[in-house]
Amino acid sequence: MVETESVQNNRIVKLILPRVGNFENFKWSLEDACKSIRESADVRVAVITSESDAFLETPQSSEDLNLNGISEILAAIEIPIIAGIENGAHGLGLEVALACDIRVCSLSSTFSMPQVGLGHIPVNGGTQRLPRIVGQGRALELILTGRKFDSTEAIEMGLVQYVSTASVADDALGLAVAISKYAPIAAKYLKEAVNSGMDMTIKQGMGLEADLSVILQSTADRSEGIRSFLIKRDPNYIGE
Amino acid sequence: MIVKDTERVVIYRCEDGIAHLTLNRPRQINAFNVQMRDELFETLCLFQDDPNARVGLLRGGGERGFCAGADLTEFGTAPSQVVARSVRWERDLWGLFRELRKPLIASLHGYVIGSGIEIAALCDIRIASDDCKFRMPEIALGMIPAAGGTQTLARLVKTSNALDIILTNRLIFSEQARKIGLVDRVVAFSELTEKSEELAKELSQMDLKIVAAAKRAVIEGSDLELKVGIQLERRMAHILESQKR
Repeated sequence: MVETESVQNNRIVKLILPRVGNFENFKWSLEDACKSIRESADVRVAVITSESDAFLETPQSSEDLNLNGISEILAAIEIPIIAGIENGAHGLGLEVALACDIRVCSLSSTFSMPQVGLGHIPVNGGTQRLPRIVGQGRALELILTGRKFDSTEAIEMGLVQYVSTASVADDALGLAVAISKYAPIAAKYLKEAVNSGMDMTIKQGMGLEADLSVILQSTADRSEGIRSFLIKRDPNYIGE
Repeated sequence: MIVKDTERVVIYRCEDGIAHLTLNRPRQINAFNVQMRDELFETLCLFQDDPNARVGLLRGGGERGFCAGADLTEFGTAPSQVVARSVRWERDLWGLFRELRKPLIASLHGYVIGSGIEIAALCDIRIASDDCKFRMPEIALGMIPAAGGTQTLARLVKTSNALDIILTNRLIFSEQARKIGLVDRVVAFSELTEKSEELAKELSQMDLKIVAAAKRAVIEGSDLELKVGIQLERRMAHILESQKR
């Protein structure tokens, strides 16, 4: 079952992925956890960590493999999601990590997309998200060979954004705390502008950006942001 | 109230085929304001139409930086969202950057913040001195980047790095900027002018028509399905060949 924990006055939710035995039950618990994040007015950032060496094990049975859409449950969350990868992220685990926005790993973390060698292809968005995050050439090489790579290579290719030298969980939480102090509606709109915009022509993307930006001008938080900057004090964002 | 700078805030000078476009509010580290938007629009048109200009070099005047971002003292001056939206498209400065047929180089030093990064991202090549400090502070200020940054950055450094830079408001230095693709070259601060002008000179000696065709194929092609992009590339090559005969 997915464990959740609220911290910082409910502004941050921590999700802990278990070592999975039963995939059906796991999926239900992930859905519940993500639904309550989506419905919460308080939560501003989610942090996902895992007790698994692979971030999430890849199921062995073909029936479980058909249990698609695990990544999409996460990707439907509008607020920023940070993945804290303590050990590694392999197969389905890497696909789930790719559905997050920012990834933090440790010096000893390893990564791989081994599905092709096991006789199938990634079915949780890996073939779509990996090229968008590391580029098509690199993504094809990693998916076709299934080779393992380390944290140094991962940060060079842009797969992870931070390699933690101390505690991955603390660093991921630290990022979440920093983001949770910024304007929450702006953070959601940013995610929409970047992710939806990548599926558009740049002109359409700029149109989306302009519209979202103009809508934000009606928020109290935007006035607060400018006011607090001009009088040099910390802003207090309320999410309205 | 908007106080207009009495001097021009974007300076234009063309010499030996190189158009020098310089942001000129050094006391405000070239903070982007309404006047700069208007003058930059006019100056880009001038650069495009100047028969002597073969390549553009965009710089920030003064020691402290290329551009410290939007001038927040002018924010909130639009009377309504309806007006703000129509103003955005009245003079589509960011679209104009993308339509330039001549190459435009951004030469960056010191502070490159917010719209400073977005302006640089709209240029074709970015050369940075080793003292640059990059940062996207919009989310921290209650807004999102609105000079194309959500689109251009995601394409330059890919989605996760773009989200990270904008969501966390983190400070990035020149060498890391080069590693993630935010800038293309890093040179010593003392050599920035020389190296930028060398690069501009190199581009100015190329055939303008071919440069324009290559630029168009890459920029328009990135918005097309690969198959259609390849057709565009072939068509451009055919046109160039037929002009040689």
